[in-house]
Amino acid sequence: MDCKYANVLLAGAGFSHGFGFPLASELKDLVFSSRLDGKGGRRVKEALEDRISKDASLDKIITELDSLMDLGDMGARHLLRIIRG
Amino acid sequence: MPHDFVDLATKFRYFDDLFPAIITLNWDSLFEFLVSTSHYASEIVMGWESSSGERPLLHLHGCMSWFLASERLNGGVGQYLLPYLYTIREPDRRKKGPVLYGLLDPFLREIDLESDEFWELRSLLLTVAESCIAIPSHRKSLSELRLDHLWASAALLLEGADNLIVIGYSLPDDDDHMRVLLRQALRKRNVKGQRTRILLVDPNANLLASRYRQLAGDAEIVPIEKTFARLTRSELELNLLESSRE
Repeated sequence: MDCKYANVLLAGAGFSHGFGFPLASELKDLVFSSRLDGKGGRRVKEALEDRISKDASLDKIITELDSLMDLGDMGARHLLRIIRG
Repeated sequence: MPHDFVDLATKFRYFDDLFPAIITLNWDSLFEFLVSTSHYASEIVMGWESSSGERPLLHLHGCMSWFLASERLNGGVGQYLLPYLYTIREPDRRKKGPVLYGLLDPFLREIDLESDEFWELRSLLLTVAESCIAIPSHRKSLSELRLDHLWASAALLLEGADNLIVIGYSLPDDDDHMRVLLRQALRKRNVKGQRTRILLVDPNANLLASRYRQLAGDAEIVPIEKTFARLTRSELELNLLESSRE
């Protein structure tokens, strides 16, 4: 790896703020996929599956994640961070 | 293609040469899309071994299109999937052990990432491999996920960078790995007497600046209270250390 780059961009989820969120479908897939395989992830997935369908809008998912976060769920907090930056 | 995508890609192209190397903690493939539409599209690499002159793009927390198989896929489902995969990281020893694959070449875009075909391939992949994303609820370490080489590459990039342009990353408390990475790179530069400037582009940049100062040592922090959407090229360019503007 050549390390001689005078500028390096470090980008977080906030990079695309102001442009909408272009990859909502990927996030939805993440929420509903089995890849949330840790204890916290499973809890988020099960809770979301109980409350909303896969066709739900991203706004709806965020709202539900918000309510899960109120319950102190780490997985929900992390997903929200990714969505909102 | 949604207008948001087009707007962001247009904006990114305008800043293209100012972002010769990219480190991201996001899981989505937004940057693959952006660089694939940029002027440097043919020179992109994604963080594995690369020769000089290529543009690194490092997903330090993995990517939603990356999958870890316990060994090289072949036969059965693996045989079917292989044409759709590219290898990000080979096994270390004797060609045995975990292999990190990427689903499709995101730059060739042979299959629409929004299509049913993409998601079907992905579901099939999950029967023989696991997703490679690092999340707090994930119990596996970065080395188990085969991401440690990306972190080593990121360390080299940061140690060589005069300007670290941070956009939309708040350096959260639970990103311990990132804190250590930044602190060590900045310290090494400081020991060598190299100046470093951290440009924080964020609507809350002034608040974030104190968080970065705690680990930045002697590095200069330049807060720019804007989103990338509102940032102008000249605002960024004028704040870069002069060495990179020559």
